[in-house]
Amino acid sequence: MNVDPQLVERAQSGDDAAFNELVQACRKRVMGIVGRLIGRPEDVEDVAQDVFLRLYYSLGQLSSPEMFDRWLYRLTVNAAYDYMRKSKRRKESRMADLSEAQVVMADASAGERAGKTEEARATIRDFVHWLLSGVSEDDRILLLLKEVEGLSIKELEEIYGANESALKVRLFRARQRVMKAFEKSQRNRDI
Amino acid sequence: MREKMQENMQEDGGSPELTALWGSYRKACPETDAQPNFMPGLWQRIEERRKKEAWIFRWANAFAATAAVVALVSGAMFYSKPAPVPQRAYIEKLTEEINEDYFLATGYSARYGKLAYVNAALEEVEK
Repeated sequence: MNVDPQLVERAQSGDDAAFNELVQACRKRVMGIVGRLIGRPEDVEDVAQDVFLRLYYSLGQLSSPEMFDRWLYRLTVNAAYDYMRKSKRRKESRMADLSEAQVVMADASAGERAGKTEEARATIRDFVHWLLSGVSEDDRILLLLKEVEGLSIKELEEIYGANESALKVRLFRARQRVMKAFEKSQRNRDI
Repeated sequence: MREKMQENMQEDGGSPELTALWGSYRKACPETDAQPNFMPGLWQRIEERRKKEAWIFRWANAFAATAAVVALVSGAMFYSKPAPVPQRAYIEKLTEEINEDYFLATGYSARYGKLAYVNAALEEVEK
């Protein structure tokens, strides 16, 4: 995000104009991450507002402005967790059976052939959400941060405050689950 | 940037199909920007929370003040009424508690004194 540390300091000292600038600077990025984490475009703005609300009330706890990016990531992840805990969507998606996934996957590939239309994008999103419905909210977010946001284990360590091996174990297990569901859907597609 | 991302994605292995799927997912998620009322909405939420916190703070202060007053009043009441001084001495009270029944149980009658005890013993011997 590369936010100016002086801007962060000004916002920390209670300058509302600086806070506004800070939000403007990070808003698009935060909304993008939130969108990918929660997978519901209609709720992205609400969750992003929640992230900045948390930021406003926790800026005082930030020890160094250089840590701002990690701090904001952590707040974003926490807001996404809270949203997903409240949301019943995952429960509904767990009920989806494999034949549905098979249809979705077939649609996705058909859509891709048709030229990556919006419909194809929606089916890819739905398929990934279905794959991720087999893992816990925590692991889902961890997996997305690693695989979709492209964060390194070191960056994840800073965000989660957990050690490398623990994160790797969690990632491995989550990947295995997703992989199983993926392979199963592929097999059903081929039948 | 993208190279670094790819590097990170490959860091712990994983299937190429899944890696491709994550990439497609990233592209498939729309980069939405906020509505024009994003900032006013955010400030409204900040103000709402500020008001809520101020209200809680006021109530907490009022509660603490009330508790302090109650503690002071109870303390004053407690110290203004000193405990009554016992009318009788401890030994007197003990003596009263060791009543006649105790002596009867041990074969000694307080009413007749030692004589009744001795007479009873003599009668026993004569038998």
